Amino acid sequence: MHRYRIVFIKEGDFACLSHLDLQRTFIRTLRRAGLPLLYSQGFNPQPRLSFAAPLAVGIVGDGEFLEFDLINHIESETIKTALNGLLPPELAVRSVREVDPHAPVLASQVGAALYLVIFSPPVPELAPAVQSLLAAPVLEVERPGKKTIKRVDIRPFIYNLYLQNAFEEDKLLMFIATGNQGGTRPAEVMSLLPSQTGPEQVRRLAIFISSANDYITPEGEALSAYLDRLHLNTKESE
Amino acid sequence: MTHMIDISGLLASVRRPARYLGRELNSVSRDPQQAEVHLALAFPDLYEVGMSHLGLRILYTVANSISGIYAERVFAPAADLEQLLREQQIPLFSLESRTALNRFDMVGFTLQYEMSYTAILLMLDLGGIPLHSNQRGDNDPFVLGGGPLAYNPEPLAPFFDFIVIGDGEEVLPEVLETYRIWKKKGPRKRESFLREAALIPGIYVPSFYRDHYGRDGKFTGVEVLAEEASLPVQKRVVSDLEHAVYPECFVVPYMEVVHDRAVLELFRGCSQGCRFCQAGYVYRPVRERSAEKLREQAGRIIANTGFTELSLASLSSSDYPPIGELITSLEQDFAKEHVSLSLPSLRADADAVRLADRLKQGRAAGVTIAPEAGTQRLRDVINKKVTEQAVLEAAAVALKDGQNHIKLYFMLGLPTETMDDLAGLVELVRKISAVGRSGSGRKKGPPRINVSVSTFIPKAHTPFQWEPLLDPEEIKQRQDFLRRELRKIKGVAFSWHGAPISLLEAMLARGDRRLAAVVEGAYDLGSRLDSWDELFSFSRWEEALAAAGIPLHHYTSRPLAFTDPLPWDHISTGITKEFLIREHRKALEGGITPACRGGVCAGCGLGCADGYSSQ
Repeated sequence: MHRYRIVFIKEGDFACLSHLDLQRTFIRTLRRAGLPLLYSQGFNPQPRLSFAAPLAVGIVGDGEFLEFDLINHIESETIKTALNGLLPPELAVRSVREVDPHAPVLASQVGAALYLVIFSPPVPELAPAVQSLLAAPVLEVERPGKKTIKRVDIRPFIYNLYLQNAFEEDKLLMFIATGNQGGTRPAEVMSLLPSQTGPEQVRRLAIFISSANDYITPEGEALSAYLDRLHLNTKESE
Repeated sequence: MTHMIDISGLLASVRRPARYLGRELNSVSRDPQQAEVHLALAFPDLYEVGMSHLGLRILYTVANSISGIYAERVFAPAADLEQLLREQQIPLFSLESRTALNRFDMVGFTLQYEMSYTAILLMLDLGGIPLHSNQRGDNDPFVLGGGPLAYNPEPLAPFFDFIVIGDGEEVLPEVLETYRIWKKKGPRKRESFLREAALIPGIYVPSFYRDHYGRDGKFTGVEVLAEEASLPVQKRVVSDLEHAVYPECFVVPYMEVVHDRAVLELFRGCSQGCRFCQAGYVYRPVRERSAEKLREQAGRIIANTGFTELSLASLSSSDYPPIGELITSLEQDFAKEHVSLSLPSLRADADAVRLADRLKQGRAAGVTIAPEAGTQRLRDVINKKVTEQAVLEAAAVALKDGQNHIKLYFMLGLPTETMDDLAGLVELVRKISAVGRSGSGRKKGPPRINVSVSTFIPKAHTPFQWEPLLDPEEIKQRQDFLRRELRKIKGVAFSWHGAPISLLEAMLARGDRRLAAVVEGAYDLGSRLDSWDELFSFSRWEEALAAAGIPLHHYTSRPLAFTDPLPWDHISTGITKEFLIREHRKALEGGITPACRGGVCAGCGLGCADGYSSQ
């Protein structure tokens, strides 16, 4: 058994695909590419695909992770070329690498995600609004379940919120909990902000695994290093 | 210069945006400006319904395989997109190049279901195309239609420039070639193309015919207005299915569609001759593909698409002579590929259910058996050649090994039906339930039986075309009886069709041209995707009927005489009226007509000469 981890993007019109659509698309694309997928045992065998963290409909993904198992070893570059020949550019695969099949899948490790919310027009008084959110001990939102609507305190899931550029009230970074230990979503956080128009765009920049006393990306970059790089890039582009 | 409509803002604002996204694997992407003929293949329902339809996929492949032709798909928008299109004054667009519908050369609609007629008007309207053919100008597309309901197109006559009668893959290339040559000669009046089109066998140009009625309001016949128009218009048939173009690069949807799978077409037509079934008559004669050909196609389709399910489709797949061999070879071919096979239409006998069982089909939801009627007498009337013994054997197979589900299909309101037949239906369900209880390996109490009872609707071009629809009050009473009686059998769930929708289906199925005003009236009052129960409203149709001054019962409950001219008499399926009359009389006497596979020719008029021959 060989496990591969791919990083792909989800952008443009394809940000509107649902998670189920995306799963179906990748299963069919992997099959169409002729890759020797390993199937689960049992009455209704399914290929073993594991997305690190489902992305809500409409959000752009800059680095989405998918892991799957193949029966044989295939060169990573071969997999990447085969998949990109079949997928639209908006779902392009950025990288493929083989990982330890006995280590836990990413989906079980992901604990947080960094989102960028771009408002257009900018939200007046966004900075103080963000400060008061961070100062609040409890932040309740309504979360619709299958039959009932639950009230959930999402404050524990908000690790940090800050403006990407301190003086421009149009780009908000959210570092929030996600994964199987509980979490929140950008839409829930935004429901607590005084925006009139809704965001122009929401992007998930990266997902993070919690390690000893830091968060690291699946590629092993620490959160602080990631953020430094992000701000450096932002400054360079200005 | 591009005419691509920017829809990214729309996609972000509608539910299930993958309906409108396009760009699926194997969809055909070309520059429309380079196409000599730009064709929109329109399906008057949502994407997930239209993308499940084999005919659309066949025509998409056929048209795009002709050089110079670019065929795109367009589906009906859901209400949320309709609203946005109207608010933002954006025309309905094709999926591939996002071109407005009114910029195409031709827009071809698939006519599958009466209750989607208002969706056709919705698509024309949103596409910026005048609804009536006589309002279209020289820059408007030609609007054509085809499919099973084209055999009585009269309720749609004013909306279509022309209609294809018969197999589309046979006629469409000729239509496109005629149009290509006509267009090259420079701009001319629309009518000059219609005159050329009318000369193509199988093409019906409604505006070249005028309908006439007597003082009593009864249809009396059509008058031909153009010398190019033929009377009757003969259906066209693909005689060699083995070598006909078939899609091997199915478009692979992103979203889940109703039938989310690859499809093999084992054969076209049906030899059973069930007297209520329009498809069984209009798609005659039976034409088969060889098992070798199907096996090759299956391999290529799965390799080209990645689908995990392959449907072995036809009107009655267990009738395909080498069905066992075909399944064996496909199981070998796909042993390692995790492709499951399914059989959508099966006879109601044990051999057929064994096939489904072998494919492990319906383990969860149960195998479907369709006895159609509850007593032998009534099954003989409808020529459903299955005995109670065979149904019970089939049920025994379906309910063995601890399997606990079964689905049963029946019809209500069949010609000559009495309460005895309905009591017989209940009795048959009771016997099936008992079979389930006594079966081997049973653990979980009585079997769960879903009994689905639809209302019989008389259809054009069948032996029952002269029969009335059962009176709506009577429909309700008989449904009440079944509900009351079936409730007494443990584990049985009963479902039925609402009488109002049956009334409208029956009206349109045997309607004449005067009903076009009713279809348009219902559309104006808000009818859209009336094929969806939750969107259907009978009151809009009642209002439209009243406004047009048309009594519904004229079309539904009035018995017709064999001598009455019928509004679809000028469309010929190749089956003679004499044969249909003979079958009708035989039905009332309870006479069986054997299946016409295996050399027993029933003499329907198609002239397969020496009975059925597969090659």
